[in-house]
Amino acid sequence: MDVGGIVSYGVFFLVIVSVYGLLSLGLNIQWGFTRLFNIGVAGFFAVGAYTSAILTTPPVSDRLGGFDMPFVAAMVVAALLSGFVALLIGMPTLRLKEDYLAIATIGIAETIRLFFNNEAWVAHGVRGISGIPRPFQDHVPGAYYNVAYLIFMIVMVTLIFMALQKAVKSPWGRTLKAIGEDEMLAQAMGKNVVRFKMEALVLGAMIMGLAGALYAHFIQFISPEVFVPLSGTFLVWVMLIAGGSGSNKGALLGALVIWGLWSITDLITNLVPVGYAVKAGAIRVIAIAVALEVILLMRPQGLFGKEKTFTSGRKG
Amino acid sequence: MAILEVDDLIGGYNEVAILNGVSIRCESDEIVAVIGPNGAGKSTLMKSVFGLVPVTSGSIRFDGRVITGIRPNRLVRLGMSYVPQEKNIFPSLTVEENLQMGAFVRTEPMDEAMAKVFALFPFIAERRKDVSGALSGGGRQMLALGRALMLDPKLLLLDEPSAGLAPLVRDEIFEKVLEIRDSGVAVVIVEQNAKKALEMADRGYVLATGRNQAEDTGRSLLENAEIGKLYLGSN
Amino acid sequence: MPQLLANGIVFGCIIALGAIGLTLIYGILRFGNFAHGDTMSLGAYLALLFVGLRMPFLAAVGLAIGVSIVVAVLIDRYLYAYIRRAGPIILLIASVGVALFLRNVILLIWGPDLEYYSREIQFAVHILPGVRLKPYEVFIVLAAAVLILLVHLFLKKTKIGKAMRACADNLDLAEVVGIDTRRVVLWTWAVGIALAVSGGVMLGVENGLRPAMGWELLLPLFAAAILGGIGKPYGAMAGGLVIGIAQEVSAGYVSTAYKPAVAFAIMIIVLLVRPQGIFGGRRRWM
Repeated sequence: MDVGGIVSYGVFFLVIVSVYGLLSLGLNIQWGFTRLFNIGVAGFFAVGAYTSAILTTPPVSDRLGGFDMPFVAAMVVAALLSGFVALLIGMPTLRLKEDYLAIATIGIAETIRLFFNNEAWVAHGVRGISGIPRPFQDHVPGAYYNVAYLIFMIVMVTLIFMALQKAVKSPWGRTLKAIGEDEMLAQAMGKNVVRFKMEALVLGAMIMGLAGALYAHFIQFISPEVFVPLSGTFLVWVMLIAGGSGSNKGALLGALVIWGLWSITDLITNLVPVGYAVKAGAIRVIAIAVALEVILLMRPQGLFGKEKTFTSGRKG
Repeated sequence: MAILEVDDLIGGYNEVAILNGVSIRCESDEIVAVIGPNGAGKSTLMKSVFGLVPVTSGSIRFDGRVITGIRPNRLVRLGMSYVPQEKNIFPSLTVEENLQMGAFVRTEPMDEAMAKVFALFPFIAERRKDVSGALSGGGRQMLALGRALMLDPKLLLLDEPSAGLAPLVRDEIFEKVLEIRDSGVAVVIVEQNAKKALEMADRGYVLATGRNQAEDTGRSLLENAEIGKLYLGSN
Repeated sequence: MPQLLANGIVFGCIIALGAIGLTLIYGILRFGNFAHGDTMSLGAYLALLFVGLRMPFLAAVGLAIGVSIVVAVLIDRYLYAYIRRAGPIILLIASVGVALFLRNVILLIWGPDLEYYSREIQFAVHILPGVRLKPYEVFIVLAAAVLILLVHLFLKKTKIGKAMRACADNLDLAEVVGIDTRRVVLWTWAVGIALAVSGGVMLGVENGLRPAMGWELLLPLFAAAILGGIGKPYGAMAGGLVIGIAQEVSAGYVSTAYKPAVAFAIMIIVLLVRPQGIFGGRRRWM
């Protein structure tokens, strides 16, 4: 293993961590502050990725494409479309008990995945979209592209992190926290709770959509397999819980730690003979599932969360 | 010996003390009324006695033994019954099934107990197979009372049994409470309608801000102009 | 069309069995059990194990039910009981973790390939004009009907069954009245799991066994329970049949790959129009 290889792996690793960091930040607004139970992260992730991919790839005969949009525009549209999907989901469910939102988000994520899986005319179905262009590719020498992208990602994550930190301290952010802690009380104080919840849901979804777009342009290939509930949703939840729900720092740290664990288990299981690959994969998932339960039993507030946030908020 | 002795009870939800040192007594053959303004801690007192609300200090003695902290489903076995103010029946069960649930801990057959309840409340006897959710407010209240009697309790705790009922129905309920007392069951009743409660009670306590304010026979409290002005309002 | 309807009824029975268990657990234990689908898988695979050990089929199913109940009660007592304090949503997250755990343990032990209880091939038989069903499909419908009847009698006639209905109505009052809520919790798990395992086995008979078989059913299960009204077992039964029929009939109009989306769409409509379901179960309004 040469140094170049390790550095290269490290850069790749950190880019993915940044993508997951954004997903976690988005989930933190929804769940960490406002206690919205979104189990459909993968869906918003997928919408963002596919939208940006379709909008930027050159025309292809057997699927949508050829819009030839500039990257920034495509990413913005991707984020907006994710937000719009969140709006549609939120309308029937936000007035009701949290579990309804949960099952609705599972449903929408699955439906989105099925849609992209089957409607080959949209996005090539199972074969996915390949050859997704990379932003500013012409300006950076090939060998250093990944590093440049990493820097780009770090900038994006930092900007969004700082914006969210400000949002947390703003009146808007405080209202979200109030709703998360005690919905009935917030309602009694005259806050339009449904509107705030919707805003949190949509904003979180937009960040997740952006993460999807950033992922698509880096890896240059996406298919429905990327957005399965395990790696698309469950992992993000474990990240946020491990890092500490309600803490933006926790979201980012959780992304680093859990993706690190996940990658290590990947490296280990790669050592296993090919015939056992699927079963080794199963062990990885079991390990993460057990890790989650252990965290929930022993330290549900994660690394940076406050213990107080885990007395059950009265939902009325 | 009093069937119920509450001494200097301090307690409440979470860390907020609603009861700040309340004491009451009830003999085994009397009706004791607990009255006072809203927020006085009357309902909380009931719930503390029945083990539903945590007690920080003070003691509760039932039939001679200390019961502070004992859970409700054990108190039921010891001979105490509690009728909450609202949501006090199982709406999707029939009248008969509600009564059967009242006798859940009983291992012997319950026909006798049920017959006694039906004799006391012919209104629900006629509707024994009806789904209880369809009963009127008065019917539900009678059912709730009947359910509480299924285990032949020594003490009955009633939390505002007349709340939300029309005056005629209310009077009927109070009549029944008197009959229950006459059959040998001690009753502690919390009531907003202080006048009616004191008319029927043997003794009464006035509570305010979680403390005892007055104690006397029902009649004396009724005739006490001070009490009337401060706590009885226009009821 | 009659064929699609018949298929729908078969599938609907399977969903109904799972949904009744889910709604009982939801209504009495106040717990949306996201591991319920994978519990069905667990039961199906356990039965497969016992059939492989040369046990007669019904005995294998019975034993699978027994083992699954023990597993469920242990998980409840040693995991959920502690996590419950952290709030209902954390409990849901924990159950998602359990679901993932069960599914991957199955994957680990049995691998991803399709398994069957028996290699014997049955041929579809004409039952009614335009309807052909395999004998075991008819058996599924009959067995489901019998099980549902048993559950009905249990809830209506036995003391603990009535206590379960009482707890679903008002758990706090049940405590006050003296009902042994711990026993009710155990029986709720027992009945819920027994039904889930039965449904899982039937699914395995119908479609073969795959590790994700139960997880894929989760959405239809919840849709059926919500449609019928949370906490209402008869509602879940009706909901299961509706969802099953809707999914199968939809094959006449949209690609079969979208079947889960049909359940989802129905659920969203119910949530928009009448969130307490047909029979008026639990719901929370702001």
